[in-house]
Amino acid sequence: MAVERGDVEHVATLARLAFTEEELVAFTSEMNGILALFEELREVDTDGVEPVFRVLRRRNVFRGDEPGEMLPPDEALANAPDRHEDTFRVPAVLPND
Amino acid sequence: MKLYELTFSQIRAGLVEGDFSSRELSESVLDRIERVEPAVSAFVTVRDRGEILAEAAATDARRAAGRCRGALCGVPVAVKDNISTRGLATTCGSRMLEGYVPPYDATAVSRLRDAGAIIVGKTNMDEFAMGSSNENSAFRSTRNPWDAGRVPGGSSGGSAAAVAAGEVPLALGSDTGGSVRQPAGFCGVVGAKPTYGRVSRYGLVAFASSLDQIGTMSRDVEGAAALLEAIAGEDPRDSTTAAEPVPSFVGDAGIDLTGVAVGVPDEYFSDGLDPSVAEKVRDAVEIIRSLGAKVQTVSIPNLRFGIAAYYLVADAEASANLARYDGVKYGHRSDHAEDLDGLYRMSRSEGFGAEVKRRIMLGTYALSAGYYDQYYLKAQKVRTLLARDFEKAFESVDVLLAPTSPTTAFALGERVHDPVSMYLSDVYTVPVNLAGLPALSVPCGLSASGLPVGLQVVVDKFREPVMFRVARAYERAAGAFPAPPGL
Amino acid sequence: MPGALPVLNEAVVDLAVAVALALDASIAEKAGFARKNYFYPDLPKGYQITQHAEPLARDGHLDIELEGRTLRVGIRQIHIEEDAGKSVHSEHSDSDSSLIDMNRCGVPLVEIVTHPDLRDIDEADAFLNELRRILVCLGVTTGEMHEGSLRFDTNISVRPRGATEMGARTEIKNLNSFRAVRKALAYEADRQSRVLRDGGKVVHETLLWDESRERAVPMRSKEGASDYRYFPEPDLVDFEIDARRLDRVRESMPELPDAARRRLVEVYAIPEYDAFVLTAESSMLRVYESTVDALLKRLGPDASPGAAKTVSNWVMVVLAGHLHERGITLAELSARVASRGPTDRQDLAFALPSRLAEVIALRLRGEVSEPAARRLFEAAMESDEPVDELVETLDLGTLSDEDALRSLVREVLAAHPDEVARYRAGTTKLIRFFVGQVLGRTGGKADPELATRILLEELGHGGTT
Repeated sequence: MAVERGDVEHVATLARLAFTEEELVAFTSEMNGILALFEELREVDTDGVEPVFRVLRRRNVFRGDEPGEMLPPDEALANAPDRHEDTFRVPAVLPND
Repeated sequence: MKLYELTFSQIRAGLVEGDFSSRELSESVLDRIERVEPAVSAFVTVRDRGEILAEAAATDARRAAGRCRGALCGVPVAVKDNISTRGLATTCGSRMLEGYVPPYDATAVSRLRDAGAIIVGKTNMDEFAMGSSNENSAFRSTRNPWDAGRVPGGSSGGSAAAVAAGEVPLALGSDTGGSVRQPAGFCGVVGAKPTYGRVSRYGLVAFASSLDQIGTMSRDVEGAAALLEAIAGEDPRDSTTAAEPVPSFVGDAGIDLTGVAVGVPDEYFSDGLDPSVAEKVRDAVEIIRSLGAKVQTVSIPNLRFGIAAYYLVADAEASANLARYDGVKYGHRSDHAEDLDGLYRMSRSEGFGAEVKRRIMLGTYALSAGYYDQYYLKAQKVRTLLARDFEKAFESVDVLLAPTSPTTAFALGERVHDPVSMYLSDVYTVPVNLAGLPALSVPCGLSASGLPVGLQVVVDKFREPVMFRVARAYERAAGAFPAPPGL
Repeated sequence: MPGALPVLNEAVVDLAVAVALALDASIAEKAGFARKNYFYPDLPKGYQITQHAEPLARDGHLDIELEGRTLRVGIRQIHIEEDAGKSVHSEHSDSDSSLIDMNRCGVPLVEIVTHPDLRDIDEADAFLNELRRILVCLGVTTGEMHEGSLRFDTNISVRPRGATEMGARTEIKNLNSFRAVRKALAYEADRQSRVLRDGGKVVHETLLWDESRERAVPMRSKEGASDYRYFPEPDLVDFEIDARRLDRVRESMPELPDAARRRLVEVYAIPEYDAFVLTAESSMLRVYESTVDALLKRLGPDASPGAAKTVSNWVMVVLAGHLHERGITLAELSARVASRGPTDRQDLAFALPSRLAEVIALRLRGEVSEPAARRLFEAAMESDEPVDELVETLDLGTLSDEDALRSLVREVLAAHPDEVARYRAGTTKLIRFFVGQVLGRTGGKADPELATRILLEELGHGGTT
């Protein structure tokens, strides 16, 4: 099954990526090429097969309820593009009306 | 012989014997970097010369005082640029993280520092480790030291090229689908990827969390083993590290492989394999047989589905792992955004390169409503089948021998605009990541066109010692691998 | 930060298990985490680690009493997830920008999801109050909504009377008090009703309660049509809830408010209301029960059947008032009282109840008057002197010498001839004035009952002196 331009636009919205018109067209055909590769998996009979999400067979890994090492705020925020005191500044979260 | 040309085992012996100091070694390495880096472009960042030499001198002083423990003390190491180094820029080869300086060390890095290793700099890579050629770096394309017109492989191409070119004896890489082994094979060095969970991922910038492992590179097997031994072991900061104790990976230099059962999987020698690669790998198998190993043919029936399963799983996880780059906390922030949504979309679109966007799109699609079962879940089931293939093979053999890649290093620009052909170059490496197995690539000769060929050694989980033992015996039997000519 | 990884805090597993046990939910043998993917500035990773396919527990319930009937509220799911950051406001957060505080990110929390079983605001309010009492009792939260230690996200839908299908729902977040919950529910019920009445359709969306403007505004932009793309969290491993953990948690769980309430009514024969108040906090309950024990020991066979009720009055009114006036917690007062006495560990929990019981015993035996007992209590909480000695030191013993009291009464009447005349003319409520005068002259020591009796006798003499 082929993806269409509209599907690509929808996925781009979910992924918060912006594409130009040209990129969208090119990407739609590219994506179809790769999905064709993925379609090969249809050949594999996986009835009754459990998926393996994690290869490590380990369970019950916990930490204690004590504070660990903490970064001083200045270090934690040192890479922030826009900072105010100990917070990150972003365009308004609530619609401004 | 110049100091920068020495293998790790020669360096270790030389430092212990006092033949040269860490400072002298570091100077030689730094001079070499200055000389060949314009042609190779292996590094994104090289640390200040004065700082490096001061650290080297300090380890010399410690050695003189008898306080230099461990084989890595005073040895220069390069670190792939997706492994966090406190105070040292960690870009992941991306515009998105240009100028990002981590406030903390990855566990692997802090273990290296504790072992006395000297971090020389950060190596170039495909953006966020997505790629097999280093052409996806936002900064520069690293060249293959064997042929400047060819790629070094990827995504740890910078580390492989740096080690091959004598810019550093040891390097860390990361291997999600072959990103240590494939460039090691292309550049003629040893590249080892441990069992999933052997090495902490804490501080490794995530690409695909269930597949990512930090791996090691060296011009000799001993170096790759010693470096891996130093960084391996459970880490309370990474829930997915294994509790298994870490045995000696270096072992002894014995050449006798009597009692070792070797399997050669048929499927790895199929149509897409370059005949001159096949020939070198078969030669290597014969050498190993001659050392006393028993060789038999085995089967990994689902091998050919590995690529599809791998790219689905990796891209799905990547689509979530790369959602944190939104222009808010660190990294690139667009100047052209008018509102919050625009900030996200513009920052991400400007900060990420084409391949990263492609992967995020594919991964998002594979997880989206209506497609999860068909793509993501299906891929994880195929992963189970592939893992079972390996389990079955390891019921009768200790190690699998196979080519690392179907071809030798390809030309710059040859595949970069054809994602499917680029993805297919990983066909022999990705199954190991899906199954969480340890594997390494050791050089096994030069192809007809004079390019290195890699022999892949795969073992069952937590059996790194036998993997290094076989590779080391082979390395000794095959004789010293040449350095790239003409640099 | 790029490269950072999560590790599960074991304490939250135990707390979540306690919640599941308290709400009669069936607890999974194995649970795991998933990533819920969406972009929001308070979500630093672009996904939230939560439980999706394998939650810790499902299918519980909570019974609440409401206007004489019992309402069973179904619990759909109890799971663990990580907290997000929060928007903060300052003079610098103009209308064009928001400030995000990430300090809370990654802190584990327990989320409880109900079935749509609540029909109106009062039911919702009663349910949330009872749930809060349980959670505070379990030590899962301090219950302070303004601190964010307890948060409610409410889903609401309206439907025309008689309709069988439920309407589209909206979710309201950012509710920082019980008052806000009520206001927001009322606001949104009204808004939805108006939309439906005008022939419109309610859109399923998430709203953010704006406390200052008392209205709910849409939270996410429409373009981000929600598709959370859940998948198993590869950075964490599954965890098991085995019998050992269940037993350990069960053993460490305090008695739940509802059970404690029923027991208090049964064992101490105190009114429902008293039992409700006394079980609001487990520390209050402990003090009450210890005080009753100590009192009964002290009174022995003399104990009247009403002693337990007397104690509940003292705890609910006098002790609670003492705490309130001083702005301290019961734990703080207990510690303070204990620290003054002998340093035996045993005494730590019993110092306050035993001193309180002593005051009440003195009162019940009539050795001190009610006002004197109040003063004695204040003194007993603030000094380490034995309580019976305090009676002496402060001279609080009841003035029970009838002759002495009678002469005092006569003095009072003589000093207020006008009031006496008005009393005799029929303004009998002046008796309270006279009692007050008498008590005042004795510094509260006189037994008000005795004083009243003598006053009535003296006033009854019909003006002859």
